[in-house]
Amino acid sequence: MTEVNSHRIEVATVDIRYGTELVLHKAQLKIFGGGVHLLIGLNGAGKSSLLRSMAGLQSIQGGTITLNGQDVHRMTAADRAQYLAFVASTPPRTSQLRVEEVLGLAAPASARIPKVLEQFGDARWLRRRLDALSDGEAQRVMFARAVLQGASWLFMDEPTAFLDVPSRKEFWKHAIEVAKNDTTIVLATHDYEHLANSVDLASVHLIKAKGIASLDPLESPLQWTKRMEG
Amino acid sequence: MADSMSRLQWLIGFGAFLALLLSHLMYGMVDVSLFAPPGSVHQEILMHVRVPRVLAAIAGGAGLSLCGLIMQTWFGNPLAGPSVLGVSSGAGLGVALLVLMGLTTSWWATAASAMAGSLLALILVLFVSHRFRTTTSLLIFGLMLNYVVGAMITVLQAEAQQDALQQFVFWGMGTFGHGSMATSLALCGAVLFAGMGLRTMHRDLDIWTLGPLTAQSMGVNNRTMRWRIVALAGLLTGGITAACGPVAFLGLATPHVVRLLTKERSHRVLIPLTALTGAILAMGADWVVKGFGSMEQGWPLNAVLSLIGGPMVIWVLVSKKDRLHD
Repeated sequence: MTEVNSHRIEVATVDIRYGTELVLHKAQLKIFGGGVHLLIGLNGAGKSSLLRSMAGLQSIQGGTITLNGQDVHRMTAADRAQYLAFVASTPPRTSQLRVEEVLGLAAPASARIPKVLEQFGDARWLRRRLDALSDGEAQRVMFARAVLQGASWLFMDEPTAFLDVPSRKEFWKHAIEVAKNDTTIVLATHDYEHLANSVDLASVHLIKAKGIASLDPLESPLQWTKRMEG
Repeated sequence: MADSMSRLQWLIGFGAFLALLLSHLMYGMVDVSLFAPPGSVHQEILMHVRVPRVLAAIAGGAGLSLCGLIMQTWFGNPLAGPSVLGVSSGAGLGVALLVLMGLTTSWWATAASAMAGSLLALILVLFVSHRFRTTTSLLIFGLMLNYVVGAMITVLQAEAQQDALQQFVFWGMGTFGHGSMATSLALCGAVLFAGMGLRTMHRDLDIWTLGPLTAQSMGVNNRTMRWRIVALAGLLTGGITAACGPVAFLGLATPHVVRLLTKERSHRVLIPLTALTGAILAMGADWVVKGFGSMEQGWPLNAVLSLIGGPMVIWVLVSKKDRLHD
């Protein structure tokens, strides 16, 4: 292995700003590899911005974000893709690629493609075009794609926003299976009651304007909500 | 059922390409033999009129269609293209500045100026495009850009000398028939180079259809890709516009024709297929221009293309197959 062993992501005194609006100021957060880690917060608190920044996809206006000591914003996109995968909140709507092509882009000529797709969705989708699937189906394809990318860290921004309630439960079940196989999942979601009921979370962090507070992952989700309001 | 392009389809494509190429060389105001002896009138016509014209049609058709394809992919917008987004207008302004002010008649200088104009227009479109979330607002921006640049050109026309004005108006109608052998070969070289450059980017272009954020997370370097697309589309549109005039709709329409003909959506296939189809459509349109014209000039190319292209845009807008998501 190279110097980058996927053990720890560290957010140090990070500022995120849109124009003059300061979303996060001197944010601090440390996440150790393994398990499912949850970011919660009110709308506009900066969860998504922080998540994108941690995945190296959005620039920050101060501080550093490091993966085992290496600055994620100084890595090339190709290098980052080996360690950090990302699932956006909305699935693509205009791509007309076939599902097998989409998955092949993440794992060229991989024999695992049908199996992974079957795991998270339906292997019969392989020959269908992405824009012919429903938003929920497309999102599950995008999740399978992220898993096939083979990165040790998987970031997800509201991945269940487009799923119905039964699909959400399924989705979290699969995500948890992925986390058991050496992949660390960091996600932002409002759907944490479903999630907390199906898995013991490794850590929970409340994003607020004042800063990031780490919560007790064994507490009930109701308690987290109260702290969010308080 | 085969989803991919079958060998037969490619064969039909190349057959049509070859048939159009040969017919353009042989038939016109006079019919010539392809094997005319050196120094004969027929050979003069071939080398100075027919070959440059058909090469310009091939390069112009293929080049503008490739520009349309990558612009549609980049903006995630099925109605993007060099003429609708004002890139051709930018090139036109570059030409107008030199021709109407009577600064030079050199094609190479005009081409350089046209390229600068189309690059500027494209950078402007890119710069504002992230503010537009919908397909149509980007198009309205392109439309406005076309108006503003058109107004500038009108002012230049008002100030121009009579012969410069006449030259410019002819150029503005669009034609594949004004270039010399040298300019046509230069265009072909540029289009070939751009096509091969794009072919190396086919995987990144595919990934790009999944959205900028996902593309970046899969290892695509947004900035590098953006500048490559600007450079390729800007320089191609500029060069072709300088030689053939502001050719309407071809860049927008060809990718749609390709999507009708095949179910393939990977850029590995779309890139060569779009270039081939663009060349075929351009040669086809030039047959209409040559065939229906009662005079030497024939029908204006842009009139022919707009008659076909305009309804096509309306069809895409109305069609439910392409989701526009406004």
